[in-house]
Amino acid sequence: MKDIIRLEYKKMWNKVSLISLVALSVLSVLFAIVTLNLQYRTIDSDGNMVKGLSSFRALKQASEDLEGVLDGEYIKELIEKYDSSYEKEYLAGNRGFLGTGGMTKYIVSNYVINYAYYGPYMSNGNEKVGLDYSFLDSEENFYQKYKEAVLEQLLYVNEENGLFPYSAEQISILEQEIQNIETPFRIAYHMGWANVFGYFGMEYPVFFLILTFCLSGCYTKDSESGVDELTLACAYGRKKDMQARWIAGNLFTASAYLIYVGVLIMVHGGIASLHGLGASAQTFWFECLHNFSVGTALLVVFFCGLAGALVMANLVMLVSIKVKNAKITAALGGMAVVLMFRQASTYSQIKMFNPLQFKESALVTDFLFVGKTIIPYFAIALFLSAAYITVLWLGLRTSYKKYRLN
Amino acid sequence: MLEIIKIESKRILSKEKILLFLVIVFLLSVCSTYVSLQQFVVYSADGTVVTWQENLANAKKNLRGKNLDKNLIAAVRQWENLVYVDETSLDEIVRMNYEGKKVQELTDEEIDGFYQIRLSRIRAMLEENQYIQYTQEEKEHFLDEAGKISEIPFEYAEGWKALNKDMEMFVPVLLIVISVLLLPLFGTDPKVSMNELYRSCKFGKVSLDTARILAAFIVGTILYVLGVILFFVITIAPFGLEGGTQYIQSNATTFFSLYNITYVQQYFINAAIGFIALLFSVSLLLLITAVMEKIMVSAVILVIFWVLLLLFDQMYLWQVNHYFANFMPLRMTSFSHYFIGNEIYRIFGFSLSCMTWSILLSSLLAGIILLSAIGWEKVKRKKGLY
Repeated sequence: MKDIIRLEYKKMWNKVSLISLVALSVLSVLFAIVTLNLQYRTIDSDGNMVKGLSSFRALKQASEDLEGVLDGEYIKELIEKYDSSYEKEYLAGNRGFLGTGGMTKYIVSNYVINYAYYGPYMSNGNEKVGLDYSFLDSEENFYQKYKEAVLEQLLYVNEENGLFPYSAEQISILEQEIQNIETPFRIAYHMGWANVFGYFGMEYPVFFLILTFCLSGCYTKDSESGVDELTLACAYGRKKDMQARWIAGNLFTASAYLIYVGVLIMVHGGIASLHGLGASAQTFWFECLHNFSVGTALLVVFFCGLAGALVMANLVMLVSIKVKNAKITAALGGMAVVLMFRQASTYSQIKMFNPLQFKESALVTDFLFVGKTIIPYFAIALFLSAAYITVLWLGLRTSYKKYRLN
Repeated sequence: MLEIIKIESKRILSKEKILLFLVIVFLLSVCSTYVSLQQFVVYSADGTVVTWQENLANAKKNLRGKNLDKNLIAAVRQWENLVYVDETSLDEIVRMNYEGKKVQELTDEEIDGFYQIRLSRIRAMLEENQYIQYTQEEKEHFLDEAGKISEIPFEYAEGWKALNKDMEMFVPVLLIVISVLLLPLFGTDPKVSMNELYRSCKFGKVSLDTARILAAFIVGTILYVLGVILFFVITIAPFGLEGGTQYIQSNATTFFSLYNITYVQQYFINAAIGFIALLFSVSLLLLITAVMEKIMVSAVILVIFWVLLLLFDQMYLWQVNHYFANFMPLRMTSFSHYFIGNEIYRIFGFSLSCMTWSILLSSLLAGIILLSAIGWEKVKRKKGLY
């Protein structure tokens, strides 16, 4: 069996999959370089404006003195530094700077602080970076205000768009959960990882499309690596080989996913560095209830992303064994991706069931109440993926014995 | 040669594929028309519903013989609730012209100076453009064009407005569908080993390649014309043909446009630009399939190319659009930017509009790509690959 899996896995690295992955990698690199180079600019440690790709390295260097733990002493020093900074003066005279690709070293720390004030109405922009707040007089007051903002946002989201309204008891459990958020937060420059996360989400549907092309020939009769008379005539041709193809298809998906994420990490790490994995997740996703670092949270996102990709791979393999035609499989797979993409773009909470959603911030910020228990969305995503894959695999198994070439 | 073209066309365009194409075009047209019509259904606070038929009938009746002038604006100013499309679209134009002011808030002096204010808004747009510094000559030319309109007929033209808007969604999808249907012309199936056989025939080399290239453009053109006509009929059917000879400035989207053309002219311009985009797409497809040979590999490259265009389109970066995307099929068929963007290119001292330069450069690129595809096939023949 091991040998069959190995051989089937090797067959999957054919011209279509190699060109697909090379094309995806080229697209990732090109898209990142062009868009980051044209959009971003920053004020470096000497007060000069740096534009393009080099702005990220300049920002990292400028941010070094702001790295640390967001406690009372830090807040006091931050206010003093910011009030006398060139950045504050510049932002006052250039109102649209932060909303149009402008960056300063204060955005990580000041945005978290401003979230405590604005709560659900927080966004980026010059007007949401100031530090003129009375709750900053002590560390306790700041974190108290921050936790109130988190509760306000979660209740607001539930009221506006929740699947079920929270009961009084659930709200009290939620309050307790918010109180358990570990403070003080750790602040660090993490723009490289922010870019990895952003571009990962943007290109995730493209990866689904690539999977469609790579696996469409898995069980078809019109593909070089598909099923033929020889396969079916062999002693292990049906059950074992078909099962080996399924395992190889999943292994291929995992390998391709590693390449996809690896290329993104390399290109964005090269541009903006991979610094900041140890920063608190709350400096990245303000309403995150989990005591994760940025690194742990991203690991969770990437793991769920893999689960979503495996669901797509199994869907393509199922279509492939049912229709037995690679071109029709690719077309149907493409249509499935388009439909998933359209559904994921709605406000409907049903999208939580959509595998294309298993790459969102919601993985580390959303949750569902089951009675009195809070179930994080990443756990739901993993459970759903397992359920989808099981159902699709069972669908595949029913065709093993019935498979006919004509 | 004609016989080979016929056979090649039939090979890629079986009856089933033609039917599939028609079904796709039909469904797309019906869906987009349904969405457009739904925008005319008005739900009021007291639970009553104005259907799209009532809304459109009301607009037809109320706007008969009307112009966008002080009498019309003054009349609408008296109304308390703006419900029907004739009222809301006028209100939208007023808000654009008076920087957010509602029609009810306008004074008599403001209403009297409607067209002067439009001119001053256009002047401000030209002066405040953050990407292009217009020369005095260019500004004067633009303002001359804008000043030529002193009265805009404001009759019912909702069908043409919907048609020209929805073409931006329809034409790119049509181009993708046509490209997919043309894939098997040069693309080969891995399990169909007929290459050696037909390439060794008398007309299996130069004649076959020429016939296939011609077949690609002929079939592409026929499908495009068929698709555009079907879309036109389905979209315009529930609205009616009225208003085609009105200026596009009676539409809020193109109210500040410097192109003094009618909706019918706009439709034909859109269709013509879409055709140029088709020529580019077909040329690119021929090059991809000539180089890659296999259908699936060619399809991957084609999909990645369109995805790249889509990603750039979502990011909306002016430099990317100006120097690249404006000449590519997706942005070329995003028609409204030609009429309201005021984007220009300065080529050898001449100031060209974005529309003109996009058409010229895209056609040139299509020609270069086609020559590359022909050259590639020639190299393969010379190397004895078939």
